[in-house]
Amino acid sequence: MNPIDTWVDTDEIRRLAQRLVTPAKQTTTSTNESGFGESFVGFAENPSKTAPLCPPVSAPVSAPVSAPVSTPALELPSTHTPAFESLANWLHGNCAATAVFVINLDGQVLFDEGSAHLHFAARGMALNWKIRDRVKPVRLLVHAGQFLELVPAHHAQGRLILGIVVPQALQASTLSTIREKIALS
Amino acid sequence: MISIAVSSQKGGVGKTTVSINLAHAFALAGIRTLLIDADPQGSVGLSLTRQSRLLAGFYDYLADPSLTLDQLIVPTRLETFSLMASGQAGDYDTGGSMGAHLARVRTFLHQISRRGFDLCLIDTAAGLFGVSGDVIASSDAVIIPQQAEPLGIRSVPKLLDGLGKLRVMNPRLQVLGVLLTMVQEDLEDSTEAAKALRELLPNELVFQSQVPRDGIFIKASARGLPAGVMENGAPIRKIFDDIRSEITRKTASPALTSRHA
Repeated sequence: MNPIDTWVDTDEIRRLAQRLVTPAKQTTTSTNESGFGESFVGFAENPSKTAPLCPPVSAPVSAPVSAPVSTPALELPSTHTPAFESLANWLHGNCAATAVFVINLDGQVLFDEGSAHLHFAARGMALNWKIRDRVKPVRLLVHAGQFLELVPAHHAQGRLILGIVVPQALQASTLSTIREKIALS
Repeated sequence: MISIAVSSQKGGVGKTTVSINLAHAFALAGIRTLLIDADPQGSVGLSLTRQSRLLAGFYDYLADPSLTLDQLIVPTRLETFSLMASGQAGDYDTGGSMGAHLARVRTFLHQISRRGFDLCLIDTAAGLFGVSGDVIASSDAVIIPQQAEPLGIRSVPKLLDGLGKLRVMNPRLQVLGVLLTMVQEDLEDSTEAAKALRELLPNELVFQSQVPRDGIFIKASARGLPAGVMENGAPIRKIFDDIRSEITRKTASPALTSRHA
């Protein structure tokens, strides 16, 4: 008898192991999966090699192809939903927030001020690490003196995750106020 | 540059021994190697440098953005082999929320890659969470040392499940495989456990080479040296060079092509 059969579920191990030797599903940049909405027209890199997604009815305004690209090409059109505008303004004024975004548990961006590069971290945590079930926020140090706070909260649209970049950790009382404001947004 | 984490679910399986001797094997092959001690216990530093308790290191970098790599990288007598200690920052436990240091770890690896290293080998603390999880979620590949004994194998399902989740977060993560350690050829339970694990897992998920239990590792550690440089260390050096070859083949990374070939 195999000496480890009594210790582990061998079928389960084989299934888990097989998952590790098959190529991981790569993140695609389709508009739906990436959560950037239909207005997303693609990344700005290698413009000469990238076929347009659709007939050029509304090509993005961009610098000439020969001009150097000086910033990462992940800055996306902002997504402003009026319902979250006032919340964002409050966060800027009262918490010194430098960026605010809201995603749902599917990773769809509901509100954004141009923090696309942070969505990936938020999505990964929301989808894989069950912060949806958490009460306390998750805090990431994203830069010197800059924290990304991911705050799970209830809303009329269901459970949402509010992402805020702030210079210091938020107090429990502030978080409570924020959750109330999200619920009312 | 390629970054490889040496990680396990369980502690005491030989991660540090594997890390030190594997880094040495790559450095001997001419690969510019940086070995990072990402275990707060500081095992690499304690093994290889007498001053490790005084050195700033990886956890200090996470805590203090003003630190530069020049303050952290420690050269060795082997030109291609450099170290980074775990450091003095004491407020980083190995538990806690996954992702808390992800951005900082990725910035760290990006900066390391710009320093001209071919390989960054990272000895993590046990477990796939906290900073260890962030390191794996930021690395190109991971090696999993696994002690060849029946009880240790009980942690394998949890390990595989954890790695599967980390691959969702880091789809480019290549699982190089389980490396059997502390194999005792004269002990039936050990060889049977090793054999059973090889039969259970896909071939590509278990290294062909395996690391024996050998007193030379303890003697080498006491002298602050990789086992391969010890008197009578040639067999150990051969084993780790074979592991190096397997890794080079599996990753197909140009960065790991021996400059002595």
